[in-house]
Amino acid sequence: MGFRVYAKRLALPCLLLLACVLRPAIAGQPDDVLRLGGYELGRGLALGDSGFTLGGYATARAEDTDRADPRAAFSHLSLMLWWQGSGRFRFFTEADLEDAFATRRPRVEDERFLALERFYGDYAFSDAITVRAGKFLTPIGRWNQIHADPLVWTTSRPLVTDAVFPGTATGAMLFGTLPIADREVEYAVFQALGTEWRRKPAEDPFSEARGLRLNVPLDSALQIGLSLAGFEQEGRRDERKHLFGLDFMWRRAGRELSGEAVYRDSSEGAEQVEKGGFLQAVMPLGGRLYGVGRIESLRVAGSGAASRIAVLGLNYRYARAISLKAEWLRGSRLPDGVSQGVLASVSVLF
Amino acid sequence: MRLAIVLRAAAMLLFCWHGAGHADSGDGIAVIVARNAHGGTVDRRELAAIFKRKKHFWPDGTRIAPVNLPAGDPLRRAFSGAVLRNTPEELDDYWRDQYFHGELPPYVVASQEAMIRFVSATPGAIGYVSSCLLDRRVSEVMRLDDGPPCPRQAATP
Repeated sequence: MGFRVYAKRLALPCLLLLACVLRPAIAGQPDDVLRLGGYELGRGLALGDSGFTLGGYATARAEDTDRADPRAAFSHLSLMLWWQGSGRFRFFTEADLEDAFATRRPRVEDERFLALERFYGDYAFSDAITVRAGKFLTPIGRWNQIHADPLVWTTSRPLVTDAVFPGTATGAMLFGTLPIADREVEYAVFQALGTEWRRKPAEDPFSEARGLRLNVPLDSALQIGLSLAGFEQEGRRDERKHLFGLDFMWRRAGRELSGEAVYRDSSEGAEQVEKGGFLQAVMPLGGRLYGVGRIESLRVAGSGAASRIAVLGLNYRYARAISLKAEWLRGSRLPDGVSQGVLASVSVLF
Repeated sequence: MRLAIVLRAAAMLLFCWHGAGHADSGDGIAVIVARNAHGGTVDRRELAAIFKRKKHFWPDGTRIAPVNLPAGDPLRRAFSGAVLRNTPEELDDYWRDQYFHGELPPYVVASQEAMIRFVSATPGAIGYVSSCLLDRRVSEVMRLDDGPPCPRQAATP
């Protein structure tokens, strides 16, 4: 048995041991806000009184998975720039330099690429009605809309948030907050026009789409969401798909339980149906160290049985804006691009 | 005549004792806007929406500028618990998520005096102070009962 096999088997116990060793050292540390003069890490840099704010995030990632050589990459350098004056107009853009550096690039997704993640203008008629035009994150589910590495608990992304629908849409969206029965209900209605701006090489974008999302806070800790969409993609314009999704998020005192479930049918018949979901739990282990567990299932179109994945990991929040993660991923019937093994990353929100 | 003086003195003592007893208990939190700004009042649900940046505009169309005290300030903690039902630390994840969409948490000022000065001088601003510190520079639009003792009285030995 080679060294690498031993290393993989020992990775998780070593991480848990590290957690136990670190726990007393880091418990109860006070302020986790890093400041430099007036700048606070993770809160963006206001460009004078211009109304512009510059921010973003960066991620370095390492993976050692089955049937592949270890790989390290500077996977994201994302810059966000937005303008907000005292009026009703707002502008936002995000560009992401993906895999600027990588020790190897086995798939087209691993090529260096400057992605235009978002580019849109908002005009707020009121708190209940804002119009957005441009390229934006598809408002389906919860993860897709806050997918930045420093904001999520694991280096890997649940399949169901990535494989079933395109992550961005170019078109128009109407969204807002409605006070209903003593709750602030958020809604979004979108229409994609089928001309994706700066399409990613590995993505099959919408050729046409429309959808609706609702997010309802049930109390200060629990929110539930509903997503509905009908769409076609560039790859097969004659195949009409309908998506139904449910999600929830519960947060209290550092604990978190969240999940998403999606069912997507197809005009091509039952063989092309995709369905799945994930359930994720986060527990504070002491101080800034958190344990994360996730189970996933996804039946992709054309496959007889569902892929199943279990993720067990640690997330050490060195500061509010800096996150160190390591996780162990196991699964069965894994789709292309997903392998069992160990993944780790360091990400900074700036 | 003597009886009247004695009764008057007793009444004053009783009044002072009652007043002192009242000062020892928790003071109210006054939610404030600039004097004569916007008019009307806000309710607790609207206030939560404002301080979570879900409500952006006053009825006259002015953009709302919510203002907070530092996270460790007892009044901020009382306000956060009463209105947002979470501690400032529990809201950290919320604000990290909002930042990804270009939404920043409310501006923070260092003290209650700074809060009054900022709110009185900034169009659309809304903040909060101990009700005992209210003065003519600002208008009260809501009163919350569950604040810490007035800092002016707490500072008195």
